[in-house]
Amino acid sequence: MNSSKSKFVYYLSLLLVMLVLSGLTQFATAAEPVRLTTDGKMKQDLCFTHDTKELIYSVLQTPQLIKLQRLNLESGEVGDFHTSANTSEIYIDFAKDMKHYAYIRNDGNLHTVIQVQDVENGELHSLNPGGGFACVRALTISPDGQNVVYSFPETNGSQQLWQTDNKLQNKKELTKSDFIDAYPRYSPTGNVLTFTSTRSGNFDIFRMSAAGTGIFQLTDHPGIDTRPSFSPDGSKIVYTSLRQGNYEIFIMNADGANQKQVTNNPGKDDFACWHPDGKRILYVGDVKGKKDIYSISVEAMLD
Amino acid sequence: MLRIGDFKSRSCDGISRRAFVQAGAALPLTAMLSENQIAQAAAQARAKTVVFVWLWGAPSHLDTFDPKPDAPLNYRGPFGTIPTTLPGVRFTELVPKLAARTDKFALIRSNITHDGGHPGAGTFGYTGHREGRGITIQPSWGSIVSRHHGAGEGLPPYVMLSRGIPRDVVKTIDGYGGGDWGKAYDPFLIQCDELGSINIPALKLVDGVTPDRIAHRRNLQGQLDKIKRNVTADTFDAWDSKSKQAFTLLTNKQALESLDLTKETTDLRENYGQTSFGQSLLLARRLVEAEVPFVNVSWSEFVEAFSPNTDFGWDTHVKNFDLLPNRHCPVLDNAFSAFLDDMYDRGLMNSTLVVCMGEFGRTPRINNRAARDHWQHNYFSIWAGAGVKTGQVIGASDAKGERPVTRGIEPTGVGVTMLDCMGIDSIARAELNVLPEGEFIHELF
Repeated sequence: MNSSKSKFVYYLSLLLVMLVLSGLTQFATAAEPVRLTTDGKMKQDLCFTHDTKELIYSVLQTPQLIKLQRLNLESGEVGDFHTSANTSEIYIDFAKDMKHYAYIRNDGNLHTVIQVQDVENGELHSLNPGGGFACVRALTISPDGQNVVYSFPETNGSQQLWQTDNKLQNKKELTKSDFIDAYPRYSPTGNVLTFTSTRSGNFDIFRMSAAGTGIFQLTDHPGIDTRPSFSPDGSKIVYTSLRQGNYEIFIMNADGANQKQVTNNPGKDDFACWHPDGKRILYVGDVKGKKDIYSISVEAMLD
Repeated sequence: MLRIGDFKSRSCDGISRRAFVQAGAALPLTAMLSENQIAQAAAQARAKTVVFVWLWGAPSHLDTFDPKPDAPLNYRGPFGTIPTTLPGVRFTELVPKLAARTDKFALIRSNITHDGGHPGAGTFGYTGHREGRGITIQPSWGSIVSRHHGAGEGLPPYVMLSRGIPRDVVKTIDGYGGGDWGKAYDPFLIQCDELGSINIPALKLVDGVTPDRIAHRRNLQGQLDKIKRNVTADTFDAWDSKSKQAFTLLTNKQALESLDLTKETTDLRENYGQTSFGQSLLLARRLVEAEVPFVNVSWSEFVEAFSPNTDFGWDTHVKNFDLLPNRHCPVLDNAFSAFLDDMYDRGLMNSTLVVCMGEFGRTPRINNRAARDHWQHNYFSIWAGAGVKTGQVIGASDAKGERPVTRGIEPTGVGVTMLDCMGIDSIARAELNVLPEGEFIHELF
């Protein structure tokens, strides 16, 4: 073997070792997940109440019904959030003071409405997005409870983000593009939105001001990056990525830097949200065919 | 007299269309094949069982097994593509497990049908005939197999694993069962939930009859006599045959054990996933082992993807780009992969034909709801077992996935191929007066 060739092999080996070590380090910093539910039913759209006591999520309760369910993290008790709901409800989000919350309700054939519950006054506001197969996709409510942002398709085949007030009046189109914008989430201050968009050619994660200006791309990968959610201090974003060929949970800085893989499960990990303590992430993991909620500490992964 | 001639539908044995009609006219509809004929057919059959996996509601071909990464974004959609085990063949990123198993099946990318509505295309997909054409309702593939093969010991010959007869919010499809042959040839419906628990709706026809009571008293006739007094003549035939099948099943220990998924290891049950579709596929495998001739696994009872009181079918006029990555494709990818692995591991594929498809595809161009509508001009089907040459893609669609650029494969061809594999050749079909058209899919073998 000549000298230049042996040097090439040496540096290649060194590079491989470094890559392996960096990968190991990445996983070594994520703790073991803790299983919080055991029924194995399909779950999605995790969201904390801001008093940190309860986790609300959607669950396929019967073959024909997705219900909002509450999990008390202290007692482990599980119960219906809307006990009388008889049609599917998804994508709940709470204002910080818990005085308002918003969710999507399936009220007709391939049709959904937005509902905002004013908890103090007991009023329920509803937004019907239109006739026919009009279907709101996902939503978020601002931390102060004053605004709701949701994704809704346009006639050109795109899907845009819209804003309304908490009475679901005064609609305003936040984005206007030929692309599919989805899964909006407010930052803890309410000044920034993060969302998924096909602006890059596939689903990647973006951010912009709450007014819809200054759109900035955070991830750039041919695999799906989706369902972003801010950490309680607004410095990080958790999201789902298919970049490894399997759905895993990742975190990154709010500017897109420092992307790190949190989970490494052969099944699908998805629908992540931050625990209000900022140190843990909760997500739905498909382990051995059962879809349950897991908590994983990311404290060691935070800068 | 049967003749070889200009049969429009090329079949393995080349019987002519005219001969088919002559044979059909010469024989009464109720003519039954002799035991000798059945035995001969069985000897020639490639398969003892067909497992017909029905993706009801119609999955998008572009977002799964026939992606078009070079098409404009408003066609190709947002999903990336990944390599498969076949050089140059890519699937979308939503079906990675099946992409890693292309050596275990053949994929057809040039299916077409002639009805753009669910009930019509559903009936087409189950019978090879349109709905609403004339006054007759043709028997489904499973019903034809059922009549040809007859009932075995304990288990019915045509089992449908589904929450219900395939339907949309308006109506059930016409072509799910025996049609004009009568309800005796309807599928025997078994519901399997996400935990693998079994429910047999036919038992509800028999008031007060439980498996324990039947097993101990063995007084079916008494039970039926009691019920006969309380039902109309129109419905009697229906529950009579199904109730008998239910009774036979429940009093046959071996047959009953075929429905007991607790006999499987926990690991295997977990591999299939805790979904109704996954556990139904596992149950289908057990029914294959029990030599049930035709097993139909339906993804859902309803086509609708997101509607009240429906069970999340593939009809993604809305939320196509939400439901596919979030729910539908992961469930399909995991469960169907587990099924293929399990079937091969047990050596069952030599004698089983597996076909997986929906009733049509979905619009290549994204609709005005950021989703996809019905598209009967091009879709896919997956085939495995019974001598199917795996590791190949048959047919091709154009650059936008709108139409095949190769021969379009119609539901009649799917039916002819399935039936031929089961030993129901064109002569037998003529004698049964079914499926006069359709081209055997030679490329599969």
